Amino acid sequence: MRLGKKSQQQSLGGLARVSENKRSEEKNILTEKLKVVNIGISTFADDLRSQDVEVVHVDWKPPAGGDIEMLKLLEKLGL
Amino acid sequence: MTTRVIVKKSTYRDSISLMKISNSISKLPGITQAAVVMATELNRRVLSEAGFVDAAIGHASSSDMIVAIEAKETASLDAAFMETETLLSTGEKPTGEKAPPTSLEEALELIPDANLAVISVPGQFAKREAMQALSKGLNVFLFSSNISREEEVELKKIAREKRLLLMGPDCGTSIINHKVLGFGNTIREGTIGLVSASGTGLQEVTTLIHKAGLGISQAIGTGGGDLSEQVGGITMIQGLELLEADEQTKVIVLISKPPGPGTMEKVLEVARRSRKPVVVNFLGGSVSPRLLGKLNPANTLDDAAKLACELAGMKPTVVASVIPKETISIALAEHEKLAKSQQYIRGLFSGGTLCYESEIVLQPLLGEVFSNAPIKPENKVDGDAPSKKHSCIDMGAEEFVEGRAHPMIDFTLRNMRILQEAKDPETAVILIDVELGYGSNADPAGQLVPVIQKAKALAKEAGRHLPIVASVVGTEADFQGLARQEKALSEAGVLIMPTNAQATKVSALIASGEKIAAAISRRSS
Repeated sequence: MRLGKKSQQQSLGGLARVSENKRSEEKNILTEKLKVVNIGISTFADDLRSQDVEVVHVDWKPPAGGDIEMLKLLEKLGL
Repeated sequence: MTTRVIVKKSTYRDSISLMKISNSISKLPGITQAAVVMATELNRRVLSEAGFVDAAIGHASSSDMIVAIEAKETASLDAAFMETETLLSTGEKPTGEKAPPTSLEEALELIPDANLAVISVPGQFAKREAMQALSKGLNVFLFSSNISREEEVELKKIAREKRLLLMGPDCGTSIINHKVLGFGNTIREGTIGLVSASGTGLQEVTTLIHKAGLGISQAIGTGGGDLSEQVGGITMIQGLELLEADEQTKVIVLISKPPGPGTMEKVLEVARRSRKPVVVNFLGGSVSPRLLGKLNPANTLDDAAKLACELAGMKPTVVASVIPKETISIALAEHEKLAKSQQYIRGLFSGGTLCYESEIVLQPLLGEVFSNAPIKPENKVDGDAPSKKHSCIDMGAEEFVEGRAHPMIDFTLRNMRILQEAKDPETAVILIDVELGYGSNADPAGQLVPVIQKAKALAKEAGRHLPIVASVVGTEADFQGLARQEKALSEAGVLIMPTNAQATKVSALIASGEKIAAAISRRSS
């Protein structure tokens, strides 16, 4: 499903003007095989695996022990 | 009967994992009820309604976990708490496997060429995770809700700048390269590409396209807030441009609740420039001929599916949009069985867009429809309050899902509400939606049938007949099996219609009878 050059030129602009930017061509999600990092509900990772999608699941825990005020402080400090 | 409540401070598991643990514990010998939940306000209230009274519940915060179990005897209770600990620790580290990564950065060491982050953490932490994913050059499917419009705009502007797609927040479904993200159905490959600001809207239209024998190229979810004036349709415009460039896509469908006027103008301007036919379904929102130009408007979701199929080369009328005469007769016969007090439709939806669509269908037929997600602000009601006249309640709205799994997978709250409506002498008919596919409950009919039987029995004890109407969003390729689910519901006395719009019209007919039959027939043709 790689875009042909012609269709790239005919596109509307913005995101679809992928030929102008090699990096964006690499990152056009419709033209690539999905490779996923799943953060949160673990069954979403299971469902993707069952569709033969490569997935790495993150065992996520709330940062700063879930303390929102502490989290804001850490973000301000760039941590 | 004995109960015990334990609060585990600063302990987190996702809502679906906890729902599964709760279900396992509930089935242990001697256990009468069990809940393992994050201590959100909603969950604390549900526990209190279920009879768990403990001061520790009141002191718990949303980052704490509550284990609340009721048993016939102490020995069962002890065993259940031990099993809960085992299940919680099993989920922590899969036996025999290396400990999973605990951050995006660690995950990227294992999958350095990842191109998508699927994020479903609680809303207050979601922006942080999404921002990190974008900074690493990943597209994002952001399932999390409870994210402010300001945060959404900030994330989407960064995504657009980096030429990445940010689907969400509050994005229920997407089908990218024929892989379902979040909640979605198994749909045949084909030439119809969709961009949608509504999850169940996308599910309804894609399944109807599949049932008509056609298929889809891509289905891009944008999240419900994308077409607000603040966000300005950033993701929908990106999606449109991607589909315009996509060679497999021959027809484009746009789905949303009515956008803000400025956003509508922007999105339709891009759509009008498309070289491909574009169907626009803004769910009852009127679009001026100037903005519409050559675009193809559809009022309801089934209209959008029908139009898309026709534009993709299928003969008209293949997608069912006409209610058969026999069904109209059945509905009128049901109306005759109602008691005088039974006047109102009670719609209880797990799909927010289906709730909205039903309101749009009902309003011209029946007048005012009250909802926690109303089409008119003056008809807004509290979702928790007892239903008022004709009501459509979105059980997937934020107030029902804070720290809980979505009603498509966790039927607890909707089942409670079905019984509540059955007891109300003013309820003429209960209208529900059922979603199959990835993410949804493994056996929705198995969850619903006992409750439907109980609801009908409750009404019967009070001398009333209680009709229940449903539509099932799904395909035969979904693992729950469309035919199996419809058969089980039908055998429980549920009247099954092929689309939500039709189920709504039939419900209106049951509630109001002959006086609106002519209008229904006219609208169905």
